[in-house]
Amino acid sequence: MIALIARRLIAAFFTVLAVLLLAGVLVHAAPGDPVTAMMEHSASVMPEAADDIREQLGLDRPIWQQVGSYAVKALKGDLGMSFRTNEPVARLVLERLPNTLLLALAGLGLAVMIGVPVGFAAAVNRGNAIDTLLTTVTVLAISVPGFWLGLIVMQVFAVKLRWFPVAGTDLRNLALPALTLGLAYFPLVARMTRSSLLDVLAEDFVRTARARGLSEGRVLAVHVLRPALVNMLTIVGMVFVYMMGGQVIIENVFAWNGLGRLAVQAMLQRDYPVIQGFIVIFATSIVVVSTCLELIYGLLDPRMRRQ
Amino acid sequence: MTGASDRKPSVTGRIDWRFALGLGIAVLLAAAALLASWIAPFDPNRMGVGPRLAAPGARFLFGTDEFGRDLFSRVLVGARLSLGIGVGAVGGGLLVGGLIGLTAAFSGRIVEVALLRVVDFLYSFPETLIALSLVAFLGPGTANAATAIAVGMAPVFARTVYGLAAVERGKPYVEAASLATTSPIRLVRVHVLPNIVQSIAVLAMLGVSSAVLSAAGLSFLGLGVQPPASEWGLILVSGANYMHRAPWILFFPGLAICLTVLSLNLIGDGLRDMSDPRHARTS
Amino acid sequence: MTLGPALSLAGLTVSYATATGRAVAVEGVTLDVLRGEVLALVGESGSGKSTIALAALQLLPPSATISGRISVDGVDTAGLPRKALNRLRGARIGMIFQGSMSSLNPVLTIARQMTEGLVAHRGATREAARIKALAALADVGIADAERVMTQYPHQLSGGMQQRVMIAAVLALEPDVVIADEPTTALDVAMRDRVLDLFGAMKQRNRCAILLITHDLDVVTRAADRVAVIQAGRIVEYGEVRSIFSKPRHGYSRRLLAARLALDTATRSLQADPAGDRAAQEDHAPQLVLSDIGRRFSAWRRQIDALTEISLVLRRGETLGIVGESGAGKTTLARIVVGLDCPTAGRIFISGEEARYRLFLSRRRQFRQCQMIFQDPNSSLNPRLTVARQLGEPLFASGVRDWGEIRVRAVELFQQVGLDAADIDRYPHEFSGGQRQRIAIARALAANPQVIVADEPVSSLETVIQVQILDLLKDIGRRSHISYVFISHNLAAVTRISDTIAVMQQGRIVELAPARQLITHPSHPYTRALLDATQRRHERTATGLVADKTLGP
Repeated sequence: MIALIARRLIAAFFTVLAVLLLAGVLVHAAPGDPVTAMMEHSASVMPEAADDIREQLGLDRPIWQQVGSYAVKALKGDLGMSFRTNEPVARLVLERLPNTLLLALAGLGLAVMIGVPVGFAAAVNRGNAIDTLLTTVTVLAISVPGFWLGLIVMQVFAVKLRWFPVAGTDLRNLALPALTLGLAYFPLVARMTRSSLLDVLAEDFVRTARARGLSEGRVLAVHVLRPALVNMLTIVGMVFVYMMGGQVIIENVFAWNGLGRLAVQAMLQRDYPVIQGFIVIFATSIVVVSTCLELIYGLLDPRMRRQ
Repeated sequence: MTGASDRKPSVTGRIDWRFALGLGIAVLLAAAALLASWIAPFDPNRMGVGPRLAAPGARFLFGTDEFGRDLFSRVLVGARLSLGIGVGAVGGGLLVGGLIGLTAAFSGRIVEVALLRVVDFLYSFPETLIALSLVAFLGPGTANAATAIAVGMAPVFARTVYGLAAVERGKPYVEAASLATTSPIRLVRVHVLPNIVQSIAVLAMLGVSSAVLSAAGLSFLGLGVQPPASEWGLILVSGANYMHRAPWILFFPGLAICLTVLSLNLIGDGLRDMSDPRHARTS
Repeated sequence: MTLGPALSLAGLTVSYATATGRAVAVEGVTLDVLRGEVLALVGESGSGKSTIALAALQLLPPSATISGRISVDGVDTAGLPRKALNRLRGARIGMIFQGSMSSLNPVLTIARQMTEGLVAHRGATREAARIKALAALADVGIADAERVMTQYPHQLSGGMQQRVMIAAVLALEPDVVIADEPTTALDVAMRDRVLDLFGAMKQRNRCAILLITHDLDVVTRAADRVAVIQAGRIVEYGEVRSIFSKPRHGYSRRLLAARLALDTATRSLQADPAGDRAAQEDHAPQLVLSDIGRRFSAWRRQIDALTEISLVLRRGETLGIVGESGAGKTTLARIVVGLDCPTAGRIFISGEEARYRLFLSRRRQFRQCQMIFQDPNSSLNPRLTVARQLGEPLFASGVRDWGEIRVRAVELFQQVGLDAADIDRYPHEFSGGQRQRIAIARALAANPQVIVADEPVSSLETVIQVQILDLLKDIGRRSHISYVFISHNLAAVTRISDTIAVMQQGRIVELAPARQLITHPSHPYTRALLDATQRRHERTATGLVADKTLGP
């Protein structure tokens, strides 16, 4: 048991380390030189000083040394300085992390609250009209681009109806982006829930329970729900990962001041340290949440628990 | 049950209606994309062919944008761009990912574990993040976007193909074939691939739909296709800006994306249900 | 009993809608199970036995179309409302399913699964149900019942899971028990104990038991009446003794006769010790295994699947390897052909030492050893034509001209007794026995010196088994290919082997020429195996006193 937890934590650590190294390496894929990029932003950097700056930044050292030192510094909390504003990247990024997580949580919550009942209803009614209706709705919903949906939501609720403010980052502003995320990702939740439930329903042990003469309600509640719940965790984990990907765009549509918005601005302005910082922190949050979910899953499934 | 196992394990007799519907729409879209240059009534990039922000009408089926360009022509030509990126990205991703997956499944234990570690590492992050990370450093542009999306999808392809291949490799007929074969490549090509192409086809369909969405998203953010090209996501930027004055600019490109993605999803789902009766929805 | 039958099926017909039309699983099945008796339902796999069982409890999937009457104590179950049906299930009719691993819920404890039926039906308190459950577990021979109750299914062995399933059903003391292959995972002692338990239920509780099995031993030991089913139809129905002594239908006759033919081989060797096989010419050894060992390590445990295996196989010789499941026979087979790598020892093929490489680098050497797998359904590639599947090994053996490959493929095809016109068909278009012939042809196509046959006939109908064995013997005689013939069935092994090795728990406990092993076994385990075969033969033979082919 302890071994399981330790293994997962060690794996998570190495994953984060790999992310750090990757972020360090990727920056070298950029055309040109970081210093050239810097010079675009700051009039105060003289071309003559470029070489000095290069030396200062350690850009003349071999790549692997640069990557290594980036990783080491990052572990200590130093993610470099923004090219554009010269603020510490760590501060810029960590300031916005809570906003991103808040939105993610809200969106995930909505997606699960809508998606699970839909998936459940579809599975239990398999084959009949309700199932067909629900699955059709799901397929249609999956085909809608998230950011387009966001724009329409914005148009309908903020502009036309004026129920919510258009953009910003208070709690009041949370509603629309969270709604968008929820609507965009509930079909995924519904699909996976339906599929998982159907799998459980088809299991032999459900047949055994029926053969034992238990009422259908009892069969569902005791024999189907338990294994299904355990699967739900996996589903939630997967949807969370997908959603974090989509969140980057949604934050930009609603001007939600989270990591995604920071990242895109930085990308458009070639502010490399900030981009690196975004990748590091964003990826690390995903790893942390995924690991937590895996640990909970390990605790719940008796097959995982070792004597 | 006698008889059940004696059927050839391939596409079951009935054609799934979703597959048919999806195929129909997709064919229309593909035709539009291919013939765009000829069908488009106006030059998509030509400004001022009509009044700015004109509502849809007889002359301009989808209306005009803020530069007076015909929206219908732009959307039509945009099909080519979007589908082109989608197919290109999937092609590349599948090639690289598929090769990695097959190599992992049919090489020694060390290679297998090493490759899987790398693939699983990448797989634990959203494709969008990987694509964004690449585009962030490579710089915006159509080719870069396509490459980034391809790299983002490669882990999924690798992992899925590996899974399919690993299942096949354990099957007695593959083991039997491995007893008398000249090379691993031949074994995979002759014995394994025929059994997994169908699943890969499903994967590819769904991949293209996902790639089209990603491409639109990247372009919308300004990181993908650059103006003045008429990629759907890019047009949606204008759509967002002129949401209240000219909602048609928001509506039509979005609808186009929906239709494209929907048709591809239908084809993918239909294919999957046709070849795996277990997942079929109706008896 | 003056009451009518406890379970009665009249004209039961079940069919499924498939993409290629309707598939009929069972047709016109009529049988009764009376109180206080055991009715055995015998048939090969796929004959419809399980369908009948599921139909009796109305557990068939919605895609099945059922016609005919199913009644329990005279009441037609088809028209029953859901609630009444649920009251029936478990309490009046209990079902023991095949495949106990998947039939138990992995996330619930054994205690939970055993008591819920009692609580739901008998209205028992949790405590009372627990006591009953413990008693039921003891009845099936589970010693540590208290501990087992707290465990989860995956923590139990296959045999224990099966016994738990049986206990759970019997604890409810239903009037009718339907048992679908209840003893497959159990060893002989446990099997007899379970069958005794059925006997007790039959007498004590006046239970009606429908016992579904493909094992004729179980029938002779435990059943009063028997129904034989073939391809969904009942072909024989009556008292066990009379059916077995005078089978009327051709199919049951073949079933019984084939079994006998295998057993006869053993007896004939015993009865005729002077009968000699042609003396082995002194050829160089084809295959030499020297101190082969195979150890599997998983977590902190280690399992020695094979220990100190040493064998010599000469050209044209057939070595039979016999032992119970788990003895290591398949592991050994895989090592010989190179699909697995030993952790100790060496192997020499045609004089050269064979070294093991990664999964896919099949050295030239190992190609000389080909294999015939147990299940003909899964050992042929469903998406390639038979011609192609025969062509590939030919290509690998060096023939590069595809025209010539085709000619040779057709030759091989005919050599195994199949019609050349069918060579471009797909495997699913052939029957099980034909597929195994194709598998043999494929093994031959690679031009091997050694063929390892791992239970090549176990999954086939007994009638076909004899045909395939004779085919193998014939090919061996003509081509001087050496065989390693593996089976758990001593009778099948003796039919074609020159030398026999007996394996027990990863070791060879006896190795001797077939004749010598059968007449003068030296190891106690060998003796036990022979006794079991002998006893089985005698039990079947009691019904065939009049048949003179048996001999003394």
